[in-house]
Amino acid sequence: MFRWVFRNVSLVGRIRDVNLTISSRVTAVLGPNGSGKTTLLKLAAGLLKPSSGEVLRPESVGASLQNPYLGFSSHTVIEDLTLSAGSRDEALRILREAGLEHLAGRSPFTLSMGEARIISVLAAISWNPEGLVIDEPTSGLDQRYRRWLARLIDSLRIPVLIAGHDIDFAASVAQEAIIMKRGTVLLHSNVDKILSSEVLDRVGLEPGPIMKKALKLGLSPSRVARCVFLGSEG
Amino acid sequence: MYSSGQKAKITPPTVIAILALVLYMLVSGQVLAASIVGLIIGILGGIVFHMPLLILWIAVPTLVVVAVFHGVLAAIDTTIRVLTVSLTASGLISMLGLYNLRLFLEGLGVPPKASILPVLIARQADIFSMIVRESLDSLRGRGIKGVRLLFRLPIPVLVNAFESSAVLAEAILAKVPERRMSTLFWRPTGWDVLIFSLTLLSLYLL
Ligand SMILES: Nc1ncnc2c1ncn2[C@@H]1O[C@H](COP(=O)(O)OP(=O)(O)O)[C@@H](O)[C@H]1O
Ligand SMILES: [Mg+2]
Repeated sequence: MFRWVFRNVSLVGRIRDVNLTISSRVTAVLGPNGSGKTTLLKLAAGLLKPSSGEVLRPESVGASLQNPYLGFSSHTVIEDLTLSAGSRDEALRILREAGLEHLAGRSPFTLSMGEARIISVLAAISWNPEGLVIDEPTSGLDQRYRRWLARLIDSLRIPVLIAGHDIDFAASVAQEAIIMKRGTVLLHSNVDKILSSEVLDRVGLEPGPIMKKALKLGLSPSRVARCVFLGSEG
Repeated sequence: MYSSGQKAKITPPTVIAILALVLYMLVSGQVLAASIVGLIIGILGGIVFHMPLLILWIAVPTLVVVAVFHGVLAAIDTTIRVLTVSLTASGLISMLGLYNLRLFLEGLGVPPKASILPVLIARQADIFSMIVRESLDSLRGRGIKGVRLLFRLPIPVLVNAFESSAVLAEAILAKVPERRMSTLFWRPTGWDVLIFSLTLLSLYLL
């Protein structure tokens, strides 16, 4: 079962000759700035068309992009969620389930980065898409919100692509990861293999201190990450 | 596109002369010739291919507003004129380079704090078109489509553009030196000759 297939996909000046078959439930796209992560995610969501090659994807894909505030379009959080959830009741149910009813009457534009990110992800899944992409989910988030977001992503039933350079976060929610550099895919493998690969170092990415210790002790990094972010043994 | 210290393709006198010629053509009723010159300059300056959204944002509202009040024909005429002027001006400025425009303005005696204005406005245009694109994608990523998308788009664009503009203006103005920069000397380039010939050619042929 695949969720996304990229066949010889190029987009002039951004990515070239990408071949991927993505079949894990959550997949992390890792790489330094400008390596093509955002481009890959937008192609996976159908927001960009490749200049050559072919992208097979779920029919509808939700997207939470880098700046969550750019996707808000109403004066209150509840009105805003209603836009994509269809009804106010459904919007309220989504907020309740996330434990965020207290934000219902706030302006989305005055939310903290952490709150805005979570609402943006909720908005992206509120129209029941068959897949989801989240660009830089943890940028600007403290540990509490990173954990919250990890639990949210972990609880979803649809395939998810996340992009960023937060290795520890990726290890906690993703089963597979893709490493990109200068618009090409360097490596696509399961998270544990990626975390112990020297390719990570070659593209200038570094796991956090806990993950490093786990690797040194020979523990499975993804298990340790799940423990830290999700409070489970995985 | 607007890197500082960029080499000018054309010289300031050409910019002014062509702009004046195009305006003259529009006033004297040679709209077709003027619009062709505008289009060519827009293409040569990279505006048509690099900022198609900007063109839509100028053309669509003009078309709609004038059509409502004065009918479709008047709307098309007005839109062509507005597009011609904006394509000519932005194309010429992009070929001159903003940094050189600033030097030119300072050479004319405009104080440094004011001559930075075109740079500021262009940076805002860059940011603005990025905000429009990202907001569009963000809303589509929430399943919002079609007419609803067009109605919803202005809200995030306006809220966020206002915020970024304020931050940017402050940052740029903080860096403007009080002292004037060196004066600029010009030698006509092949581009000056090319643009001039094209403009005069269309003026006489059409
Ligand atoms: N709108 C755009 N037009 C042209 N090139 C772009 C655009 N956005 C990004 N790029 C270029 O494409 C490359 C990949 O960018 P991106 O996908 O945003 O990388 P990342 O998300 O990994 O930082 C970069 O070299 C970037 O400069
Ligand atoms: Mg990016």
